[in-house]
Amino acid sequence: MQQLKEQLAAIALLGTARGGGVPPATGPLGAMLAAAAKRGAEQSVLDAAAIIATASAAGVVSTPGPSPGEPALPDERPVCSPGAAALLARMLGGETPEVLPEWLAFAAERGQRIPHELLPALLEVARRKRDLREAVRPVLDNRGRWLAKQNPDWRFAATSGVDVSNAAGQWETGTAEERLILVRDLRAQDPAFARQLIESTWGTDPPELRTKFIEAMAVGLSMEDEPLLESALDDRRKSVRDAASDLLFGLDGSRYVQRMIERTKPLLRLTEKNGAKAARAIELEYPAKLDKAMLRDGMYEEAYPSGRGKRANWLMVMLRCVPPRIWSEHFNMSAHEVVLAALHSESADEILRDIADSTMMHRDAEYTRALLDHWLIPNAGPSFRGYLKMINVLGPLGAEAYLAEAMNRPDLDRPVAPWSVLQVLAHTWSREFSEEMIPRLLGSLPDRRITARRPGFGFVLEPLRIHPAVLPPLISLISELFEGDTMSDSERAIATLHMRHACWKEFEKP
Amino acid sequence: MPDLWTQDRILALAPDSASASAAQGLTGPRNWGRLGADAADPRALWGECQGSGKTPYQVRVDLSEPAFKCSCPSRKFPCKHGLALLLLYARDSASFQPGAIPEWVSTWLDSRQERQQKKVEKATAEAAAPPGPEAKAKRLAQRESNITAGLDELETWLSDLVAQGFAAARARPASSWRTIAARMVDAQAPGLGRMLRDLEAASVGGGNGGGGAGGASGDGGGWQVAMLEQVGRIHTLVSAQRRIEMLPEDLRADVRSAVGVTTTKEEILARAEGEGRTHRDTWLIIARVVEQDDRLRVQRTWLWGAGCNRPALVLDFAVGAVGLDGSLALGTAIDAKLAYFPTAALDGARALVRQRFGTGGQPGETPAALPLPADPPGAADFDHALAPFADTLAHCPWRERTLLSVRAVRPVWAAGTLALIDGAGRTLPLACAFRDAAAWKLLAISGGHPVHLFAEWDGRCLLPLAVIAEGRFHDIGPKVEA
Repeated sequence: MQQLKEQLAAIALLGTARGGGVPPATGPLGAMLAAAAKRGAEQSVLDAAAIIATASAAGVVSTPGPSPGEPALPDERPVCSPGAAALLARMLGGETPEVLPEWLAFAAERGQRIPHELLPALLEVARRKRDLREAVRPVLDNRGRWLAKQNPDWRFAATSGVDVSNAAGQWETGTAEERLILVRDLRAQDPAFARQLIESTWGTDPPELRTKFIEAMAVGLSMEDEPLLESALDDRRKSVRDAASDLLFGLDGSRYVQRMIERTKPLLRLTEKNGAKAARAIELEYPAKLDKAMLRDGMYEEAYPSGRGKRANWLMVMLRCVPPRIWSEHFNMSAHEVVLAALHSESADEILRDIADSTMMHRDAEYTRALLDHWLIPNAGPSFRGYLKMINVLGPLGAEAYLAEAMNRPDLDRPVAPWSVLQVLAHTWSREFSEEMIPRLLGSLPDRRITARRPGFGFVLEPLRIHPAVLPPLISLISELFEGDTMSDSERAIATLHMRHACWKEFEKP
Repeated sequence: MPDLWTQDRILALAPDSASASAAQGLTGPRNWGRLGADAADPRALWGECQGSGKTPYQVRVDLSEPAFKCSCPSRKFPCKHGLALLLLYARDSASFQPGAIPEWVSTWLDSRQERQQKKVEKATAEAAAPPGPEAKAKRLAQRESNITAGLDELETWLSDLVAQGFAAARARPASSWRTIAARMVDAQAPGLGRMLRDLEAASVGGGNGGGGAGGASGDGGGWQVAMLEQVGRIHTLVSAQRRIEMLPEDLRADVRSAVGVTTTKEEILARAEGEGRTHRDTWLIIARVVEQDDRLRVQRTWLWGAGCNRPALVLDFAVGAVGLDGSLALGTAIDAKLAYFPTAALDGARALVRQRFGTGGQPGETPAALPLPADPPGAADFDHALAPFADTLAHCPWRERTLLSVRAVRPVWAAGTLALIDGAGRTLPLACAFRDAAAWKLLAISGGHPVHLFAEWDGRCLLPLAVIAEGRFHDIGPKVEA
């Protein structure tokens, strides 16, 4: 039939005017075509086309298909509720996508998976937004991983983790790219094993790869990694040395940090004016020159991006590296006293910034409180807004307790607008804290209407991670403020709050 | 009831995508005054929506169809307010307080009922006494003679096409194709005009439904074979129309409808009963495709008879901003009597819903949508599913497509494309329109396990539209962007 059709098409292509007739065929079709051939050339081709068109549409039969692969294993988690699925579908369709991580966290907390039909859309979103991938993984379940395995774009979701039993084999057979991916994945799961793999081929791997391996060790970093990193400071390649010193910089207890401490201690002195303890100030001395040991630890002669002079820069690097508690030990003072002494220094701003950096890096709660106490007082000096985020060092509960207490302090009668501190909180607020803060937030608007209508209000409101349970009164109040307002960012903020509350409600349902 | 109204289903009723997104923006509680419903399992919903004006719009929805009414000045139908009200109901039916129907709602509901009644009465009356049979016969004769004149030209044109060859025809300017297509429309044979436009599309290698393009089809030979087949179909129709007097009554109806002579819905509804072309069954509303043709949108809704085990097609057309009929809710079933358009092949034929029955099975009750049966009828494999279409083509060669219902089909991703294999491990070519997003969705839903497939079949390739997997219905048909 196919052949006949092509023969006939070839005749029709050139035209019957150039000769050629209906090709012969066998069977009933042949008889019909033979009957058609008795008419003129054009008519017989038209008749034959008519017969063949119908016959071929009617005569289709299936052909052997490819062999099916392994089907997906049954899922291990229950599917989320239909209501939750509907909200997810809306967000995957482009509505309030910023609430997606919260939805995913709710589902993961409750050990639920998403419905199968939404898997492709979620995997597509995670492909485009790398930072969502970790959050997406738990809700995929076996079906999602099975699906991801078949699409090269979704390879990131194909496994629930690295198959450790297989990793050593992959290390020996993989390409550079594959080995790097393996190290990255493995560091999150079994950092020691990942390091052992790196060490096993350290002498033979090219410097570019050694650099990337060291960089990958940032995940799951611990003192166990210290010997390898310390030895990497003697690497022939600068990029390897720099990557190693970057990691050692924050590794409290490492020989590297210890060297920095020993270097820095003699450079800081306490001076007492008029013998008054309260007026003690920290005074600085700058390192005279760069010695070989400093060079080995990643410091250099060339200009630093900070714009400070090179001797000031060397000191900055050292100060940032030293854990702040060292100063309490060294001067035998509390964190508060050290901060105060730094304030009295001639280079107060520089010292405070450097101590704040090391406080965040070493996650020192005592110094966090001391620095925030100082910065939350209005007119405390230059703006340290960028450092407010250090409050997260205290952890969710600690941060909330600190803020609740700080806002009630009499000496903080007009503290930094709570909006700006609350915005930097990295966790979703507890219900209690949210209930306490909402009146404060609203009370801090001097003229509600004017402030609410100011462009950008939605952007201030949106990042607040208020507990979703207490949103409705806030939403209705804000909606009232915005009545008739068509400012797109305020509309968006309200839509976001609505969605956050809807997601929470859906997952709270019994 | 609320679970029948999913977001997708509601947004499918929107006349365009702008209305759909506007409606979604109106679902905040601050947009709405009190929301009401007539009962816990409501037929009517109402609410007042604050627009830009002083008085809120009065918005009403009759869920049995659904039908919409709003006091806003929008010319779109349904308007964004009606859609938003239905969306709110779908998202949180509990916010609708069951209670007494306000007057502005009941007046509308009553007038609707009245109109419905009048329509049925009129149709029945017309059936009893067709208006001026002589005048009608005269009109028909005039039309036949117009068509005959057009056919003379078309036959000459076809002969020339074959004599000079497709290669020469392909080199002709597009306008020369348009002339003959337009001539057929003038001759009151728009069906032929449409077939000629498809022929032009085939000549440039596009074709309708995929054909040889994309390598998905087993139908090799490219554009010239596609063109040959289309020429064959046109020639069959021309020859049949020439001899229409010699054909049996049913086939004559098929020829007329293929040529483009239309019959009004009212006439079909009125005549079907007397002519024995009705069938009452539990009809599964199983698949839907909407195609955009310039400003015209064509909606094909496929029903599958649970008892008769065959498909029926309900067509709906909408122009511009008007919404398509949404009274047949996809993924549900109805107990209904269909009225078929006259045809020589009932399987997959066009039909209208003549009457819907309530759960008590009596006419006059509020019709209710039923859940789909867990295990609908279907063929064991592709070849068994194809057999009825061969029979249909034998009786009516102009039938463009049908719906297949095949149990236990497995999607397989192999060598960068999706294949569907049946229980016997065999496959059929897939339409080009079925790709990427839809293919992955089908794969995700099945997990490589067998699913019950509903797919359109046009004699060349499959267009999957819906599946039932683990007892759940999924719409996987292509979505048009309005």
